Amino acid sequence: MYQLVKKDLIIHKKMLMFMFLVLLIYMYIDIPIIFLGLLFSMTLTLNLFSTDEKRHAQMLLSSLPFTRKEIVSSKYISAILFILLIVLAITGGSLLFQQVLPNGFHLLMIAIGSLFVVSFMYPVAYKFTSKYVNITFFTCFGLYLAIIMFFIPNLNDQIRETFTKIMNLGESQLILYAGLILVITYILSWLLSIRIYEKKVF
Amino acid sequence: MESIIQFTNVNKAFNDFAIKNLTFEIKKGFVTGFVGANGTGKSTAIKLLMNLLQPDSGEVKVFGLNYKDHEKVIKQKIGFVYDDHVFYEHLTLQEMKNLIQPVYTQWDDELFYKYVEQFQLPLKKKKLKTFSKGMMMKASLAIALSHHAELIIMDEPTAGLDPVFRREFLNLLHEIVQDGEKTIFFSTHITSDLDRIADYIVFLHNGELIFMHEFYTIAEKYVLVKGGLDLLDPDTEKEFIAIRKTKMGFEGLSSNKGRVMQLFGDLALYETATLEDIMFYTKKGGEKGVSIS
Amino acid sequence: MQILIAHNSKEPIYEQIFHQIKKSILANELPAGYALPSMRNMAKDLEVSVITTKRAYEELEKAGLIYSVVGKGSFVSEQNIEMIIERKQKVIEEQLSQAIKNSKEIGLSLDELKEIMTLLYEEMD
Repeated sequence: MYQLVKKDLIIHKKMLMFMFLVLLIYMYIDIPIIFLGLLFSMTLTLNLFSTDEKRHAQMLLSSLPFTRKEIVSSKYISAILFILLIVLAITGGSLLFQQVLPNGFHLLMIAIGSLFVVSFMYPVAYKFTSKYVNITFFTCFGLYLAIIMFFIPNLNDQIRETFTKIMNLGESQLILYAGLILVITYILSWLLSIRIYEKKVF
Repeated sequence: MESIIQFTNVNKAFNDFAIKNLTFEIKKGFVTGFVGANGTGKSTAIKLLMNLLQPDSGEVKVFGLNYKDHEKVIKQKIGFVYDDHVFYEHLTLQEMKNLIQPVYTQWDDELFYKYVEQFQLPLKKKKLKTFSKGMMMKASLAIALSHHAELIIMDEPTAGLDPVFRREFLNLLHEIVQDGEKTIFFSTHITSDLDRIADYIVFLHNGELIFMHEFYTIAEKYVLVKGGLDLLDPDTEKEFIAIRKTKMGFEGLSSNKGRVMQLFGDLALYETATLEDIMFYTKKGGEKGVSIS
Repeated sequence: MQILIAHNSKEPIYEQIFHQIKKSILANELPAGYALPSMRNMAKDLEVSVITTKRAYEELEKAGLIYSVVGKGSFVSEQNIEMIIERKQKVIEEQLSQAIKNSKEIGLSLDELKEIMTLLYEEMD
């Protein structure tokens, strides 16, 4: 399995380098790091998924001495690794341009936020294809708008309220709760993807 | 003799096609050709064999083990060559090898480079996506043969090869089975490949097993009969798998050589049936009952 | 030893091999005790399948023209029925001695061994 993670790193080496370069340019023009972190993590983890999604790659990996459990698990591990690399790159960029360490809370929020996205993205991608990830996102967004418009017109306010409450928890508490929920979500998502992939036909 | 592959009552249904009750065994140390027209289920059966598909019912065993509990052990000992490109196309062969090498415990670098040289493959200069079909097959073959696999499974390996390399390829297969420890199972619809190498034939039609024999028994069992239309009546027609009738006479395939030769004696012409004849007539026989025109 | 195969002949390939080796043996070109190449080696050189040479060797053995020793290969027999029988008997004796030795190691009695033999013997009929 470690070989599968290593394979992901090697295959995406050029892509990663390129993305880091773009990231540094954006940081230089001072775009907020939370936004950058989430955007780049999403792009990279989606890309990480889609290279092995093609039929030929699935046939290759499944014919090599790996179990399907390992193939899925390696993707979840690689995703953590890729997000970690983004966080490191942002830290590096911050040191380079501002000569200060970036806000640790922000970095943690990037990591946690990105992993949440992965938790939702991967099972959808395994069940359908990564193409449907975008569709799902737009559908969810549409649903959200519909809810606001027709059912709970003050949903935004409610969310804002809840969010303020959450922010009042204090950073460390917030991270703790978010982290706990994330761990559970990530593991559930992982197990769900394994189940889906084991039944997959190609 | 030890069985390396065992299919027992394997069923797998799709919307428009099904593998039905497939049962056969592949013997250790021999070359088995897997034949049938395109779309008769060969690729599906190979996928079932590689655990890329799971049967709806029945059992697939490789090296006497099932995939559920021993997937990794089994696949360590299999070398595979597919008809499609399966490698990451933006890599070179060298890079691809570097990815695959650590996966196999028995990888033999020296052997790999020997094959690369023998097949005249570019290691670092060209990306895999620029490889021709023949080169890609050779690359797959080099990788499949470099980890001392005990079972080589190939799906249409000769389809993209020129005649010269096809001969070399068959010689290579002869070399592989020299020690009697390795088993080769490959599908093909180019039946002339089989004459020089195949020990056993597994013949599939419409998802069903038509026969599994030593290759030479085909010539002993099957015969192509040619004669005048006056020889045919409802009784004699029963002896044939299918008959092609023209104004000039008939040509029919029978799987009961001794009997038809006794039946028609000197009145008919007899020819050794090739696998292609058998494929053709089995298909025709399945389509329209016994007689065709 | 020379064998020439016609791939498009009516005569099956294993028969072509059988007849040509037989001819060489009877003409004494291949003397008694001559070690034939392994089936697999011959198959490779002739570009025919292993099962074809296997069949040819089996036919030769049936005709008493060659004999096989497991793990050693196939050899040309002396063309004398008594000799063939005697040699077979010797092989049987050797193999049985080994079986007896193994039986003694695990404390199997003569009667029990005989019983196994009878069972196996009848199974092969």
